[in-house]
Amino acid sequence: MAEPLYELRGVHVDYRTPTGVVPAVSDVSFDVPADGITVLAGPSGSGKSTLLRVLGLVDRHTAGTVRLQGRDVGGLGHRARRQTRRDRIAVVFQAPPDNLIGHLTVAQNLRASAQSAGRADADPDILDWLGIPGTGSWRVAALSGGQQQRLAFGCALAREPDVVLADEPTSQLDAASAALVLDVLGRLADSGVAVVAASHDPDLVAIGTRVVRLREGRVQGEAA
Amino acid sequence: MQLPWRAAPRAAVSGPLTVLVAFVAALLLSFVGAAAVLHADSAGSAAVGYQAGRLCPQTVPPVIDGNKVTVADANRILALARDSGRANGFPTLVGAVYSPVRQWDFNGPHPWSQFAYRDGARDNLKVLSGGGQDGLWVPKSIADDAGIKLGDRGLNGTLPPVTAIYADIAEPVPDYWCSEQQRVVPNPLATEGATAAPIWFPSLREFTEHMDSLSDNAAAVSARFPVERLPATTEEAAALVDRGKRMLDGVVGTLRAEEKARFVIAANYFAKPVEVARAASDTVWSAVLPLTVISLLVGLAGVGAVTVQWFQRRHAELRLLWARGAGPVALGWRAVLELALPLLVGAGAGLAAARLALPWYAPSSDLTDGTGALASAVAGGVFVAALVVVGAVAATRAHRAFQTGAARRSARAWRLVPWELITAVLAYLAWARRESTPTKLAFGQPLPETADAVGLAFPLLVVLTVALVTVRLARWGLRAAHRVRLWRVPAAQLALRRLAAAAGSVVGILLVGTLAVGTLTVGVGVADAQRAALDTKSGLFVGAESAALIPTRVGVSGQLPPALAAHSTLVGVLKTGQNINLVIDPATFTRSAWLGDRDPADTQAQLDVLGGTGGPVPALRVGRTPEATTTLPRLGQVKPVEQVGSFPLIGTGQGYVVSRAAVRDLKQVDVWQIWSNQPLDTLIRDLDAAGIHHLQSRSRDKALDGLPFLTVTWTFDFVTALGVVLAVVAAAALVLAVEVRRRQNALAGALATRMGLRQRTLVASHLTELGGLAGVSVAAGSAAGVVCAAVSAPLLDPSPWLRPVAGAPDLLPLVSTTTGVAAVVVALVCWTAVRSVTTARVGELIRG
Repeated sequence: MAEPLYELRGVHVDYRTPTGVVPAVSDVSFDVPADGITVLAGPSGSGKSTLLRVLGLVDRHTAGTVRLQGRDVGGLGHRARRQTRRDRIAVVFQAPPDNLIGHLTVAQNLRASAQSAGRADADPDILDWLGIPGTGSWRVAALSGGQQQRLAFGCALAREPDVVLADEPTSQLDAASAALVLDVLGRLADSGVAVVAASHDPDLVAIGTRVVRLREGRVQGEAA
Repeated sequence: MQLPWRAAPRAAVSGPLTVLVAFVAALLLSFVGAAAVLHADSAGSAAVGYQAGRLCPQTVPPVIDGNKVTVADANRILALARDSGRANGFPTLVGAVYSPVRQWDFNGPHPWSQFAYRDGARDNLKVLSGGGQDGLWVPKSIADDAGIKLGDRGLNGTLPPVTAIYADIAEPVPDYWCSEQQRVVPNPLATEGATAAPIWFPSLREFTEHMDSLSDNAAAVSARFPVERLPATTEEAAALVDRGKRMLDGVVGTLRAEEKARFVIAANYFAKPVEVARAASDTVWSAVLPLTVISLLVGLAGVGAVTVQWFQRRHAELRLLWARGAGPVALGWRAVLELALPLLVGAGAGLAAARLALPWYAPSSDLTDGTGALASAVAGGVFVAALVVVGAVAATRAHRAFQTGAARRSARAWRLVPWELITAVLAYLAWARRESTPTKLAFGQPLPETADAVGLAFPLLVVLTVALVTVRLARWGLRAAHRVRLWRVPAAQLALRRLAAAAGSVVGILLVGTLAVGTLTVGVGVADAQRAALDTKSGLFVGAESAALIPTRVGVSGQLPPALAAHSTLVGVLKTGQNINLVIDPATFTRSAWLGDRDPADTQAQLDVLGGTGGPVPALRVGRTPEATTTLPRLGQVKPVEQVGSFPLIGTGQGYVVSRAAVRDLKQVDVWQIWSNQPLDTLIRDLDAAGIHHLQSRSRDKALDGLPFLTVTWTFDFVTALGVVLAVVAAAALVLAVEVRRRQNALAGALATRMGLRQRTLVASHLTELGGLAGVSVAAGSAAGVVCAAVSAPLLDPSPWLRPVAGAPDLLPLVSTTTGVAAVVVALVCWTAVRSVTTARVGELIRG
């Protein structure tokens, strides 16, 4: 078996609140393969978004070990974490507008995303690939929610990352738009990029090549 | 540079409110910084202008005078002065030579007279008869006394013929003669032969030719270097003094080498005023600096608030950029790029406003070279500081929001510092320093105390302390407000909840609002108090708008021509021991004397009972004179019938005022003065027209050296201007605070009204919220300002020994205006808040 992209061992994440420390994730251990779609599934509050933030080097875990491509990222400083995010990780947030820069056009969003990873520009065919050809000069607001979310994945692809982390990517879309997004996700995985998605959308869980089921912050089960 | 950063300036247009607020914040910041620089320099210019105005224009440049010299030496001195003057930028020389005053022969009569020559003299005399340029010009007084006619020749016919009779030069002399007044206007009080009106020669050559052998070494010489334009700024004045010093050094050095310097006085009278003007400028600058810095900090805090608002609006984009690897510094840079243009334009507009509005807030529009550049540099510095604040605030917010999620421990720590105690201690130290400043004496007389920057800071520190205490109490109150249940009065409960929920904004608005109202009130109060003090002291010092000594015969007769009598009154002055006693005419006194804020009817009633009774002279006693009948030299027995604390001319000293009708022998009066309610020019014109000789004319506006008063006034005028700026900031902050919560308020209000909240209650809740905020600011600020002005006005009086001491003016109109303006602002902001509720579409708001 190829080396996993992520290795999580005994990971704990606690949140400090005014009423005390609240454990969000407890003793979680699993691997994320370097290809395919890994789905973190579970009901609200199960810790899947928290884990996704830990994988995206957004939040720090309280205990345990997280390895990215064999490197322990727990002890990395701010600068090294930024560098890692810039070079290897792409994040797609839940709300489509949160993934795009509103005052830029569609093409400019793709270029901005590519530039953020040190690339000059995005692949010119990417809009065709996303199924929104001819929209390069459009303002983001002119796109529908589904189109915006597909563009968000396009932006992620333009960064040529090792992994795309998507938090509930279909939760704010209607069924038709969600289906198009899932199609993009599938093709993204087919292109060799690892995809990790947190979701309780059965359709998304269904296309997952590996599903990690979470409940109350603990791994309930894994399926490949 | 990556696209999001490159496109940042264009992105600004997507948030016009942020752009507008950033523009206004930079405008006010830049205005305050630049205006402080311009105002301080302008104060120096105004001080130069004021002091040049009090001097004779011909003595502002350097002067050379020689006494007891030969005519040949006088010519030598003039030649040296001309050469040295030209070499040092004084191309025009007005030289004069005077023979000694003697009873010069004029074909028999020997009138006291002196011969003289002065460059341009004949162009500045009023010819009464004749006018030929090739002969002597004789003053009318000498011509009349000695029976000199046109064509007569003096000194046994050796002098040129008399070709003109001119009107004697009288006080107040025109500018051309002001430096020669003691030589060309005879002093009737001087011993006989000490002074005399001059007979003018047509040229220096002829004067020298005829007077050289006759003057021995008793001639006098004067050299003046009039300039086309008097210096208007400290820099111009200093340059004039420096050039003058070089010029005088050249003349005196040569004369010293020739052993002729002994009787020459070379003086640069304007050197001291230049020093004083610089000191005034420095004092104003030092005094306004603390409040300027506080205002700049408030402005920068405003820029920080704008940045926070920007951060909230751009949160999604910033999170995206951060997720893609951008660090806090890069995100701070992103904020700078977006807000730099409105800040730059605002800073430019503020600088332009400071320059264009100079006549409205500064005492002079004349500025030294380089001040504009300095103001621009300050505006530039303020702009850079604003950019740093934007970058730092955005970077810090990004660090906290995305990178650490740490609580703002530093903010809590800042809150724990007892700022109000620190400012209170500083205020006490400023007060103690001012109280303990010893009075300086010159020739046994107290000198006006020059304004001290630390002392001037006292009222501002008190206002700042009150503002900080208000903020501290408000913070505690808002924290406690969470436990308050006032649902029986829903408007009050809603208002309290909104205030408590926005405690940060509330505290900021309260601080700026209280500071604004306080500085505005104390600025107006102290400035007006010093103006009024100077006015009152000058009025009491002179006694009337203008006054002059007149001959005893006129005073005794009491007869004045109608034109003069219409605005004047005669006042006799007798000094007996420590008393100054006035002999007045009750019928005309009240109308002509300077009464200040005294009620003329009351004064008239007090004077009406001074009529003659045949017994002791009824008197109005002033100050600490005995109540009992007393005997005064030359006045006899005086019986006090009324008492006042102060009186024109006597001031708050002591003496008696009696009616001329009750005095048996008016010839016993020491001197007689004429007091007028008209400007000095009018009084002199009417005296001259009536043929009444006059001396020592004085006008109220030039009676006292007002510069120490003006320095305080200028300082607090700028404090007032800063108060206005802070008030604008406070009003804008109130608008902004409501505007940034517009959506949230609209949603809450719209839902509440649909659940049964009456519109009247909604309006009342907003009025209570905003009115409470503005009301506390106005009440605390006004109270602090009024009390502080009352305490500071006498404390800052530069001449407290000259009564009355400055007192706080009536500030009720100002407080009423402030309250009215605050009420209008509250009403407008309330209207926008309620309107956003009534026009809200709940569905859209919920959908988000």
